[in-house]
Amino acid sequence: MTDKEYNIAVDLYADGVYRFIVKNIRHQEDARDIVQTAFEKLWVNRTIVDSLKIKSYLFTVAYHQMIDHIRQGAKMITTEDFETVNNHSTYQKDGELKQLLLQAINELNPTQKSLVLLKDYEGYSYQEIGEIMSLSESQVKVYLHRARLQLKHKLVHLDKVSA
Amino acid sequence: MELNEKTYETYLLSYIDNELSHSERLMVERFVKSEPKYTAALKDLQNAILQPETIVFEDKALLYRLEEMNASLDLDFKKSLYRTETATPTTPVISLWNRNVLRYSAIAALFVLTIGTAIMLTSNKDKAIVLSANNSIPEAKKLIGNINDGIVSPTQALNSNQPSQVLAANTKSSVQLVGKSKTEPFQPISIGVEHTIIASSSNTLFDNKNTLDNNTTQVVEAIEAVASIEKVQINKDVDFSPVIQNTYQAESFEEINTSEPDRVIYISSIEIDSDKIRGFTRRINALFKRNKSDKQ
Repeated sequence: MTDKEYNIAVDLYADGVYRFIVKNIRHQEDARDIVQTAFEKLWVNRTIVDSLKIKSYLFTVAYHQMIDHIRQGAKMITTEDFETVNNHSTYQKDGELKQLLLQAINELNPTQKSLVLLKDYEGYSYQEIGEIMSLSESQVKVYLHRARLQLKHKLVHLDKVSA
Repeated sequence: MELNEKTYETYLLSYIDNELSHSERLMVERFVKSEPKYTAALKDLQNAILQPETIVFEDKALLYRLEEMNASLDLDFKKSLYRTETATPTTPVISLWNRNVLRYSAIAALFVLTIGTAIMLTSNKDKAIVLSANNSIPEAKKLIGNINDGIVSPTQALNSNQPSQVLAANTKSSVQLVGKSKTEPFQPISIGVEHTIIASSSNTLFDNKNTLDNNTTQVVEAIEAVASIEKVQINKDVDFSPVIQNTYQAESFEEINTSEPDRVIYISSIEIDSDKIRGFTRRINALFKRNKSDKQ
């Protein structure tokens, strides 16, 4: 990767990496730090990173930084937080599917959430997601299908409750 | 894997994840259309797909490597970014300290100008007197020569019209000079060459000076001075007292009571209004006090 490609990568991927992290940990300052660390590592390793693998490299580094961040017990809003309950009541009032889905996503565990985000937001294949998250393709498929079904049941259940 | 009642959910999940081949996708679409419940199942799964939303990372400037960008930029483009200074008129800025200095300097300059003007007026007056004496030297010399030659007596000289007037005028002027030399400390430089000659020659030419009264002494010194300048020998026996008595009016002096608050102040020969001076000094003091309080 050339130096110029690095700056182009900032333009192309910084927003996506930040969205992926902030949707997972839901903490903007920590997400900024993680993104900055990911691009710092990309810059340090720019001579060994393939130009075609820049995006997956960034997501891989950012994901593992996020896992370390979660393991270190950093603040992460859980499903029992007041905000979630409050969002639920907001959904009941608004009846918006998007709000309900976001609430359901936040009730997934970090791995499932990362799988859904990488698939839906970034459009990665099972194989690419497996490379980023250090999982096999079959594991990605199984975990992601479980997450989809979980979301579907949540949506159906909440839809019935709201109805 | 065959698509049937048990496996359709896996196919539907792979379908929405876009993980099926083209033929598999067509097969799933046909299967879904066969039964409404499959269509509903696909609809529920599609509702579980997140729709992308835009979230911007606002700190990209922290990520850019500007030195690399700078190196890659075109030179003309970089030159177009240079800031060029335009010649704009600048307003002179005078600090408060300089303003105070200027104010004090203006006051000091005004004071020096006043004192200088007063000194200049005084010196011009003395110079005019000296010049008056010098201009009458030839005529005085002529008169003294006539007296010495016995052509004209001092009394005749006094009674005659033109010469006596000249002598009287000269004498009066000279008396003023001599009078100054007796009442003030001797200052050769400030008074002039003529005055020095008068002082030095007063004790050498006249032996009978002590017999004369004070006014006579002054007049004789004046005439003597004129004579000494032109090196004219004066007869010692000539009696100048009639001339002096008719031409010189004795000056009277009054002791000034310095404790009187309303006394008139003189600087050189200029009368100063003490009330105005006090007002002026009061304003200056108030100005200095105000500046001092401002600084504190």
